[in-house]
Amino acid sequence: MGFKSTSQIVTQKNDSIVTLSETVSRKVVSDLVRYDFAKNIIKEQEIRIKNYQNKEIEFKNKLDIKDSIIFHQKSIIDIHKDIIKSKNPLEIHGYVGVQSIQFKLVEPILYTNLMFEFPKFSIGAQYYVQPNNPSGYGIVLEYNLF
Amino acid sequence: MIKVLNYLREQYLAVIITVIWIFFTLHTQQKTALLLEQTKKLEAKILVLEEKDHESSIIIDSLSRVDTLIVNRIKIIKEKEYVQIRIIDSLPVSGLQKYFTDRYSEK
Repeated sequence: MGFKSTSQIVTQKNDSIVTLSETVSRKVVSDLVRYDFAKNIIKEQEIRIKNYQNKEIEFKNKLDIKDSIIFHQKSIIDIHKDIIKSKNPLEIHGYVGVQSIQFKLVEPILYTNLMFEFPKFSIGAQYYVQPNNPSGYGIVLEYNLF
Repeated sequence: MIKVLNYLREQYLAVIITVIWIFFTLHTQQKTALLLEQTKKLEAKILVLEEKDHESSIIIDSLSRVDTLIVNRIKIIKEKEYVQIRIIDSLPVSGLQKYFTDRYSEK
């Protein structure tokens, strides 16, 4: 009956010799091989983690860029709104009204206005009629106070 | 000429209104030009940002490809590990001894 065993051949002088059975030494070698490969895998995983970190930084940059684009586009929209407002400053309106003399309903003035209205001021013509008085016309100029 | 001046003097209100209207029109035109200039500048900025965004996308794509490569490398390492373990199972005692000697040889 044979007994196989392994031991490290190269040993220091006065160093103790540990004898392992073949099964145990096979297990030890397997574990060592697994350990070597695990170290390699850890290295790769570390590279992968670094890669993920770089990716995260890039995604953050991308997000910042998108935010900036949205901000600038909002600014452009605001400017276009301003341009639209200033491009159409003129509106034409017609008015019909009655105006009393003081707070009495005696001989009220009936008038009609055709107004060209700008954002800050309006200009137009007025035609008015009044009982017992001749009718007339004139120019109306209004400044928009508030 | 004198007739024209007299006519304008008679119609002074219309002249004033016309002058005001021209002033406002010119002012609006100037303002619009300024706003359009601002728009152009902003559009140029957006173009630069879109270029940066594109570059960022390319970097992200390349990083994703690197990740796939790493995953493949890990797979290969695991396959090699499996093969090595299988070899160890069939290794003779002398081979085991050699493994220990090679691994822990003192130089």
